[in-house]
Amino acid sequence: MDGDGVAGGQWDEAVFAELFNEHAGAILRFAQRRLPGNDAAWDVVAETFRTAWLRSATAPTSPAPVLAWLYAIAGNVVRNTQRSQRRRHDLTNRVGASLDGRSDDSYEAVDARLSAENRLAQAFDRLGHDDQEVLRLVAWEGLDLAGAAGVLGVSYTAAKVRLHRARRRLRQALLGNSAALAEEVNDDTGRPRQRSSAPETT
Amino acid sequence: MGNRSVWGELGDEGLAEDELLAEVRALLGGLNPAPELSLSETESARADHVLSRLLIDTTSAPPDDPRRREGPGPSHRGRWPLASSSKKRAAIALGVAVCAAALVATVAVVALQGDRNPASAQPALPRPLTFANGGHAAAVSLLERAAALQVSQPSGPGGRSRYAKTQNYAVNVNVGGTHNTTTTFVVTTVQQVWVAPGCKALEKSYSQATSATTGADIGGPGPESTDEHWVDTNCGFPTSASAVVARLVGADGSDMDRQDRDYALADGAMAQLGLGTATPRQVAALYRVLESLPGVFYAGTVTDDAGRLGQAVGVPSGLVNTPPTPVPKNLFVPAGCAHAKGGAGWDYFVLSPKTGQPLEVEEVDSTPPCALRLPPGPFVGQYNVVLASGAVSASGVLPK
Repeated sequence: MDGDGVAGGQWDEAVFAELFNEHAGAILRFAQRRLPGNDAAWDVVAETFRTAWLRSATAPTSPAPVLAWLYAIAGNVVRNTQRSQRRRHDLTNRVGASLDGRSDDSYEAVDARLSAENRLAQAFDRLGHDDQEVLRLVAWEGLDLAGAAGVLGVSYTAAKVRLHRARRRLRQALLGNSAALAEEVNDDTGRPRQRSSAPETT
Repeated sequence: MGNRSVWGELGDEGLAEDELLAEVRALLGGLNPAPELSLSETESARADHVLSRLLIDTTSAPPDDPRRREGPGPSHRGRWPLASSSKKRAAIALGVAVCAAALVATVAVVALQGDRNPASAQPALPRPLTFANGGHAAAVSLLERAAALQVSQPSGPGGRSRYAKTQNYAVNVNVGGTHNTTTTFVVTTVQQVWVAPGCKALEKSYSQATSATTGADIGGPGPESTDEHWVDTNCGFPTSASAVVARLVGADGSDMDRQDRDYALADGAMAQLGLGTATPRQVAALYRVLESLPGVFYAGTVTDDAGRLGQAVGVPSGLVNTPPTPVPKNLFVPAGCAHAKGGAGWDYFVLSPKTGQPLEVEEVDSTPPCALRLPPGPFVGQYNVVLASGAVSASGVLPK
């Protein structure tokens, strides 16, 4: 793609193919991060580029905004897909890595619950959709605030406020998670609870 | 983790943008479920396939040209999402033309029936087959008998490929443009599929699309396409009813509303039967799943769209052509159709009374999609005729 990027208006086959080859991978990863199932993610890729074709007259004329524009289309396709999927566990459940047997007090189970990544995932899980999405766009799609604003369809200022708010809520959820777990596992000595079969240390 | 130092020394709002972005990325980068930036070899091959399918039609005419044909894509039809529905009816309104292609003359003669309205230049639309409602018990009896016929089929020598030739007709309502204008395409296809041992598949197909806005063919069938990577087949599908249920509704089955579960099972079973490559044992398992559905009914003796006499079974498939309430923003709903009243849908399949072999699967709606502006009445959304199926010596070889 040359420095002028994709021209607005109708695309010829070469332009469309170039656009696809350059950005299909990014759109695939975008969909994989939000939908369960590889087939669903590929469906999003196909639908995104088909929609881009339909709306090529409104495509940005510079390379960087083209990807954000495609992300915005993909976001709509993902939301439509999520609405149409029945009783599917969404991505946040995968990220959250819910732990079975919370009543399991074995050393391994407590250790797993205490692991940093799982605590973070659970905290992320507790956030609302808007908070999660702005964090995903920045952290996983690598967009800056202007790019995230474009994808979300909000102003730069609104995106900045949303990101600050999401970060604050994530911190609160994470610290709250830690406090709750610390209260659960610590016995009177302040040491983590051990398996009954394990000798107590002194 | 949990150490406050991870949040930096500055207050929330005091972080510069760069610092804020860096902090968030450092914090959440490890949770990225798809961190790889480059595509694997398999993904690259699939991307090439997706691009080739998109290019078949998307670049044949400008986007706003009513002659533009919709490229093949995911196996959805042009139906709107429903409040409670099977996966099939959860397709978004953009819809997709389906695969395969046909010899135009054969398709036009065999598949397209019904009147052509010269005043509105509507394409010839097929009429539903004449189905009756012969009750549940008769359907169960027929399906039991057909399943027994199927499993009694001789298995034949091993190492052979499964072959199927099917003809598909579908109506797709594509919504686009700044005013959500619609273009309706009637797409007919014929495809030949071979599935070799090990599930290596080969598909050859032709398609013909007709635009309802012009009422004219748009230049005959497209070029033959060959696909070896992403072919829908029955390969590996279970051969016991319980395993079929688990496969179709998965782990969610026990949590589903009973009616939704039945719709999903009916929809999934019909889709498998319509592919044509199911083995006799797979067909028998699918019949046993269908006979377990309380809504299944005997639909009488019919002549299918290929002119063959068969016996039909029907099952309700949920609400159709009903826009979701409220209409989600950014969902492409045809102009003037946001408050359309949908209707009921039924899936039918026709089987051979001699062999129990599936002959045709047809989806009938009680009312056409709003975008077509047709008078109310039964409407065929899609049908799939299995023209031939069986075992052949190798992929690419035609049956004798």
